[in-house]
Amino acid sequence: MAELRITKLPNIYNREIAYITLYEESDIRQLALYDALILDYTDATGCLKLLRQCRSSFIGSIYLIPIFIYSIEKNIDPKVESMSDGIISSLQVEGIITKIDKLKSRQANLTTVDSDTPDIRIMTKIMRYLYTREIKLQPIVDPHSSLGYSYPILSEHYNNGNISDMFRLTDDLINREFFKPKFVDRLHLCSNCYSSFINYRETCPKCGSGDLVTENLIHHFVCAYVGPEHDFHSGDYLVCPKCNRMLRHIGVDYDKPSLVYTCRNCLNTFQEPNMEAFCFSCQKHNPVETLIDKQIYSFELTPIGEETALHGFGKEIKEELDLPGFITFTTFNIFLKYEIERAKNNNRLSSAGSLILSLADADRHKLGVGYSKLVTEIADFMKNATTSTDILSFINNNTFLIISPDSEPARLHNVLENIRQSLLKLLLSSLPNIHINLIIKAIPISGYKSHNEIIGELIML
Amino acid sequence: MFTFWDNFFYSIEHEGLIRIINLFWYYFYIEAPRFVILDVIILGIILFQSRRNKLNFKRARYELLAENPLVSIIVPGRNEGQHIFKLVNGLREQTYTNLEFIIVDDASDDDTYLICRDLKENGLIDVYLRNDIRGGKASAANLGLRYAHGKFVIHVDADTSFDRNAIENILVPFYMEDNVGGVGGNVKVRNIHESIATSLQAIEYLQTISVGRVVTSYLGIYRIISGAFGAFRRDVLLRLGGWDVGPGLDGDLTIKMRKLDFKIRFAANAVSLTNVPSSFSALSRQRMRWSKSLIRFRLRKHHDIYLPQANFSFINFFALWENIFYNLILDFFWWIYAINLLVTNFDFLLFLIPLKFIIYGIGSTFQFTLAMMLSERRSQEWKLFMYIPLMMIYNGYYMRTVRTIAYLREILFKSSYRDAWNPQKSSKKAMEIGI
Repeated sequence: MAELRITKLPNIYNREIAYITLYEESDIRQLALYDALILDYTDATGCLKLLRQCRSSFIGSIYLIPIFIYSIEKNIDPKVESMSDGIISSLQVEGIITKIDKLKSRQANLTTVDSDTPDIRIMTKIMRYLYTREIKLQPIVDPHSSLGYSYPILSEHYNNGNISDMFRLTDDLINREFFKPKFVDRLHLCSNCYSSFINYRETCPKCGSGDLVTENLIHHFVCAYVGPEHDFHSGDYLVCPKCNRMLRHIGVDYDKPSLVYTCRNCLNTFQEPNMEAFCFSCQKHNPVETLIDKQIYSFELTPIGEETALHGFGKEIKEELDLPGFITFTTFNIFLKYEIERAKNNNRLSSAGSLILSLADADRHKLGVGYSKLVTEIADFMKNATTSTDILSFINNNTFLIISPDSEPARLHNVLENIRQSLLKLLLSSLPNIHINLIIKAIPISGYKSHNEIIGELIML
Repeated sequence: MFTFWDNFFYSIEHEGLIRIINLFWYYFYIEAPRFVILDVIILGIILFQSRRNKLNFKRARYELLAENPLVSIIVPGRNEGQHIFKLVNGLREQTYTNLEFIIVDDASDDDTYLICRDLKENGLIDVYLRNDIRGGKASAANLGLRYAHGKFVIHVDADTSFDRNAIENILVPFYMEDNVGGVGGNVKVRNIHESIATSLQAIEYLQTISVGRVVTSYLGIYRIISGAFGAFRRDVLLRLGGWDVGPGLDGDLTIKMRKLDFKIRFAANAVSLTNVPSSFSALSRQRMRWSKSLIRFRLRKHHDIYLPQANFSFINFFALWENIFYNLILDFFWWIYAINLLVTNFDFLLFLIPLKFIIYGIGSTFQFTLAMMLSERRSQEWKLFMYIPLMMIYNGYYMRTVRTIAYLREILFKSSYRDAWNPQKSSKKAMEIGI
């Protein structure tokens, strides 16, 4: 395998800063050893390629690495600019050290997390990138993207074929209140492939052909003849075909009351053509009313998003329902930490468990306000089915957490399974049309796992 | 009271029938022979020929249905949206189905656009053309004609409705004779009982259209195909350049066709219904407009018909002359007659009015009876009989007054060119060149 041409830039700050001038296919994992990279923009294509490789990696030390672009020219590809941490015109590192240190220090705050699903991995990655940079996720106009816009880093994971997945992800981020959206643009996208590379054209309502000619209608006042302009053409003059008088003066002799379209394919005449949107990407002929109306936003990390970026999923959750006998998530965490410490010191085994209420969106929608009632009923049932020493909490609007002190996971699992079975029977009779899934988990609270790891395990589906 | 009628009958007996006829010579020598006796004679002849006519009609109908030509129905209008849906739905009930619906919207500012666009999207109309700048009824009709494809064109008003076989029946006369250029439909009143004004107009329409046009059509002097319901050969319309600037464009078109030696026929069995003005003020305005067109078109624009020239046609001369004579000349003459009657027979005045009621009442009853004999919906229309006594006032005084004022305004001031019914830009140009 060829190598990148890397020159280490000596500096008094003891930072490993790599200056890369030649881009060949190579293993980018070696770049994780550096504190920062400076990419030479002389080979713009190679530079972009390496930048994309780095930013599309899932290895934190690579996708979060500070990267600067060295260029003496002004015209930098906006995509390169958006994925880098700055453009520099000198290789003196003094100017970038502060930024590198800041990025590194914020990066140091990040807790190690394991992400099970691709979506969670991408979400975590994007949020961490935004957190370390303290920037917004700003879309850039991108003529090479079928969407017409691309998001730095995020778009690297969604090529033109799965843009809908990208929208699903960003919608999810907004719904989870990790992102605060700000309107940038409104797009009309192909209903088939989400491309915005669309040609709007007028077509014949009869045969669908786009081969149309438009003409003004002329109304000759004297004789009341009305016809398309070509009826009146006589050399350079306009002469009425009905009365043979010359039309001299618009507004005095004649006017043009409207337009007509004639289809050259079927000779149909009409005034209101159909509008069609032809997608250049997938070649679908879309009626304009079927186009997907999507808004492009810039995204800003919310405090919940920042918290999630720092500690991973599970920490962002807020207590949404005030359930009697259930403690807040914050207090639950304190108890969990206490149990972990107890396990460490006394070598006693306690268990933590979860019961996750999983409903299809349609069923959730069907239930409406009845959902709160359902949650309250489940909470009541759990409270009655557990012992008074068990600690209960409710998070994320669908997850019941339990700490069962001095209890083995198998026992807790049995308790939760009994609760699950009973609840399912009960709910089947009271809500026959709603498909309810209850997922249970029971894990040991040992001294080897942090409370974040335990929560993460409990809430991950 | 007893004394009055005693004197009345005594006077009749004393004065003698001859004096009475001499007093009412205008009616006995002019109106009755034309509008009662001639109608009876012609209807008698038609009745006599009915078997032959029926056979001819049957043959022509067969030919029509065998050929099944495309027929374009042109509906020009402004702010007629509320009527369009009913009209189109009604026309879809027709026995003749090879129809092309063309709606021309003359810059409506109501919901016409939305209604027509909806009808078009649902395939209920074939062509919807809209002008953003108002051009007048003639230009709207001409635009429809420009994009019509049918062998025949039927011009209808948006508020007209039709008997199920009306379209078929108005087309048959084109196959009954050669060289028929246009056929007028039988227009009757829909809002017959809305007011006294509409009831009187209903009787008038029965007398002048349902009976009168049968007679004029038979005599070959039928001279106005109503804009509410008229069928034309498209090639003839194109040759004529369609409709000219109105008001009175329907009568003008019929005369232009006659000048080209095309026959104009009336189809009494092609029945349509239309709403007529329900107040006398609205009726007066409408009749003013119609009456002015007699001067503007039949006297001024088509004056060549009365002159000996290469294209002189006696039948056309007679058709228009009969119209001018009975409607214009005798109209002015009647005022002289009426004043003279009053002045010279002032002693007889007390008896003149009831006598006139009786004489005109008998005449109107006779005309109404003829109309009822021809009517296909006499069970609904015979109730109009109760209004017959008022017809003397309606026809004899009210209509005559309106006509006279209209004639004078048009003769002296050419006021039809200022009528808001037509856009001023067109009327101004038409006036400049005297059409």
